[in-house]
Amino acid sequence: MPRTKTLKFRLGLVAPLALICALRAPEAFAQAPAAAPPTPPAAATPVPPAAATPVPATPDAVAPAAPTAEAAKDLPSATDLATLRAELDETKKALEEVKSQQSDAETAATPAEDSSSSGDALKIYGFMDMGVSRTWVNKSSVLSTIFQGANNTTFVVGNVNFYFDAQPIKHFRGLAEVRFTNQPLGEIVNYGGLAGTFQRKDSFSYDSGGTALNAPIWSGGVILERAWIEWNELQALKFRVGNFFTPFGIWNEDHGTPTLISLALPQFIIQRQMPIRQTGMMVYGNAFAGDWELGYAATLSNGRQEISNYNFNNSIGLGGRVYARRDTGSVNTTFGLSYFTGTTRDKETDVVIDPSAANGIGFADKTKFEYTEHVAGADASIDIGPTRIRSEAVIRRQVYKPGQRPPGSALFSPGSFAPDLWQETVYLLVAHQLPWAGLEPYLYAEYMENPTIISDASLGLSLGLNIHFNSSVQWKTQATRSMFFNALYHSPYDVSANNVSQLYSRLVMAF
Amino acid sequence: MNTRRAFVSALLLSATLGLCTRSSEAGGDAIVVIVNKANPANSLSAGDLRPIFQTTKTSWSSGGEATPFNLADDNPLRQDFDQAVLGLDPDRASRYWKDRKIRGGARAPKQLPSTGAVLRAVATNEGGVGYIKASEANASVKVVARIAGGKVSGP
Repeated sequence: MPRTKTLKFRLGLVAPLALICALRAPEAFAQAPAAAPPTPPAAATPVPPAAATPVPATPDAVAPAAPTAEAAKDLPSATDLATLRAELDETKKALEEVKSQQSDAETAATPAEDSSSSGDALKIYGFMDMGVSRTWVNKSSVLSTIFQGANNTTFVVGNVNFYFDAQPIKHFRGLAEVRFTNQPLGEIVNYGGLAGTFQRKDSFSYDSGGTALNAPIWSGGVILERAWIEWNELQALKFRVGNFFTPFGIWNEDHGTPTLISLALPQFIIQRQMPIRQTGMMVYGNAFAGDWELGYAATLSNGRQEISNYNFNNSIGLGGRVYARRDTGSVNTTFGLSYFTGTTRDKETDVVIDPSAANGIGFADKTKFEYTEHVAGADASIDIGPTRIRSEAVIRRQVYKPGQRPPGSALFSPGSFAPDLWQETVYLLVAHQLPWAGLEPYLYAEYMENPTIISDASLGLSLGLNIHFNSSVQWKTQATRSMFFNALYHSPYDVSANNVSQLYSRLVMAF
Repeated sequence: MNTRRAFVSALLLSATLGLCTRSSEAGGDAIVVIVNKANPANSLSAGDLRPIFQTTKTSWSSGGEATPFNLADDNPLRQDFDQAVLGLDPDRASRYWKDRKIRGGARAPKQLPSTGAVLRAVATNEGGVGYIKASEANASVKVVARIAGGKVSGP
């Protein structure tokens, strides 16, 4: 927008100035002495454009090879140049005056109190990414069948996220981020065979607003990524209420494809070792001690809400993060510690015979499962010039309440119950932006210990390349090899058959 | 006469264009950082200014709200200021603020259209801080730092 403005400004000035110039030129010549002799600078001046451009053959338009007395007479004299210089000075003054007037007008039109003025009441921005994914999985692996995208190349609409950032009055701000998707079209609703009748999710309908009776449409879902309102008057104590990303480590808050270095998310985010988002309240703030910024965030929430928006056990989730950051301009270092604890319960509501109820039928709740979790994380983020280093380590403990374990996998371990868990993850990512073509290659390794039906440990190694075309557009590509093994328990199965290779590529735009 | 008129017109037009181009550059004039006259600070370092212009620090050490005013991204003064204070070239500065928005972080400083507007905003806002050309500073504001050759120094 500023560039457009500047361009318009320039064009707006140049056009009248050129016009003034064209109109005033004869005046300048009229004032010059008719018999002014040619001067060396005039002779050295490049041939006038009129002579270089083919024009109808008139005596004036014929340019001789060497300056003749007639041609020399046409060239500006020293007096002409002095007059022109004076005119240029006048023009310059006029331009400055116009600029000053424009500045005054813009200042008058722009409230200058602060960034919460009404001029900034609502901002809309966001990001998008589109591209292609390919996954290679051994066909004997269960992963090749339960994940629909395995062993196929699929073009994808990744994220289409819009932010609505409102600050209608000073010190109060609301932010809603929504993601538009075409999900869950095509997802498996029910497996076939022993599981019953195979069924795929279909979002087809006829377009009731269309101009044809049989115009089809396929609807998609809108995801509310976050929505909160905050009061931010005090630097050391800000208050946020609503649905927010859990302040935990680096990745969860970086959140968006343009901001994240790696294209693929780490498994501890994908497997939600801590709640990605929570509904509740958060206080946060920071203070400075010398060169160091010391910050904190503390949350009080419903805890995990992956089952329902309701809180089924009156238990609250508690969490927090503290960090220390030092930014010297050339080196930016952040160290952080995060923690979350909460109890998650799912309940089932049954219709039962109840003699005490009015018609003998009542409702009864029973717990499906209930567990308590503790998640702790440590993170480090270091930017040294064009080099970016990120690392996080997360440890999680999940303990079921006695008698409240859910059944284990009916397919892979029928009759079992879900065990208590320890999960640990650590990753290291190093990226370096090369001095040309916006190339930023990176290496990324993630190790996780997490008992699953596949294995109890995995290692992911990635090689990626981001090409920053400009500050808004990147092309991100990543190749990943995920390897599974049993680090904790012996397994009679060859879990390496589940190893996965993936290639992702996305064109990413922030706006 | 046609030749002469065309030549002079072209000369003046190119001079005008050149003038316009030069007018959008810092032109070698030093940049000064200005605060409201009521602000007790007499000198600010790059380390003091950085968190204020990153909007991670929203109050002055002496108390009171800090309100930074920026120029537009493509203004050469802004680019020189970002490089000297934030350590960011124009492309990285633009990415910095885009990343901040995507994270949902605090808003960037308010942008004003001209140094004249910055001067006025700082003069009328107690917590205001901004930057202008040294030649434009006047008694309505207090100069607390000077930026020349990519370095921030005392006033």
